[in-house]
Amino acid sequence: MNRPAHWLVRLYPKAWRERYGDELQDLIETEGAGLRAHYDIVKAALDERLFDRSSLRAGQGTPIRGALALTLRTPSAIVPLIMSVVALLLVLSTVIAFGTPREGDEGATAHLFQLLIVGQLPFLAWFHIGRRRAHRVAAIILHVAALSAAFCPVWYFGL
Amino acid sequence: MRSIYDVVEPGGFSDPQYLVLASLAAGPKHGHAMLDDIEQMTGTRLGPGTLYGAIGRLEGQALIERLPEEERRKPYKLTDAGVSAFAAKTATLERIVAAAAPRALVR
Repeated sequence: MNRPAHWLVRLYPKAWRERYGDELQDLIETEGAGLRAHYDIVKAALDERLFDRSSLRAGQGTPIRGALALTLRTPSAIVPLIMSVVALLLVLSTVIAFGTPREGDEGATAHLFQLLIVGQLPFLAWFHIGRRRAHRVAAIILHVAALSAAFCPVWYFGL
Repeated sequence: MRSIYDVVEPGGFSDPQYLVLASLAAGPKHGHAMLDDIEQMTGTRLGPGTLYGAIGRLEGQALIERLPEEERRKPYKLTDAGVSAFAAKTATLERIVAAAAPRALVR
């Protein structure tokens, strides 16, 4: 196995590699990969990752329902969901235990809430790189729903 | 009214995609054979990434399809939709060339 060819093919999204990876690797090994070919492959792989060019036959794409299931199996999508749920539970438990305090300082709970929301950003960014459109849309639906749920008590109680 | 992109890229495919269609119009081929054929047609050798980007998009548009593997190589062929798309784009290009060629001589 040609290691550089292998690593070049690894630049592509997984679904793309599963369909065309062997062929591309075989072609790179046959053709030999000079600097120009390296540049061409890196550019094409980036294009596939960033713009989710449909490289799979229609029907092999992920429908939204399947994408939702797939999203729930992806750690970088699950962690932000868990963080939103924790943020929601944190606010609710604070309101139940201490009522709705309105002191000048926001307090530890508010800071923790903010950290849980902002801390989702790196996971969300990582998740959205190189995903198929249906997968990204499914994740956005789930994350917006979870974030809305987390913010509901904040808006409702005017915290 | 058709958009300019429908005229330049009927069926929404780019130059490398058109070249792949043109290559496969002469018969089924695997990637390496397509590169050789395209080089013979145009004098330019496509990069492997460009070739497989085009193959992926054409397969996604159901304009080409993969045939059973032959000696570890996977050939592709035009689908009926691919034959029509290739004919439509070629006709458009012929019209453009017919109109543009005399102008290229005017100086």
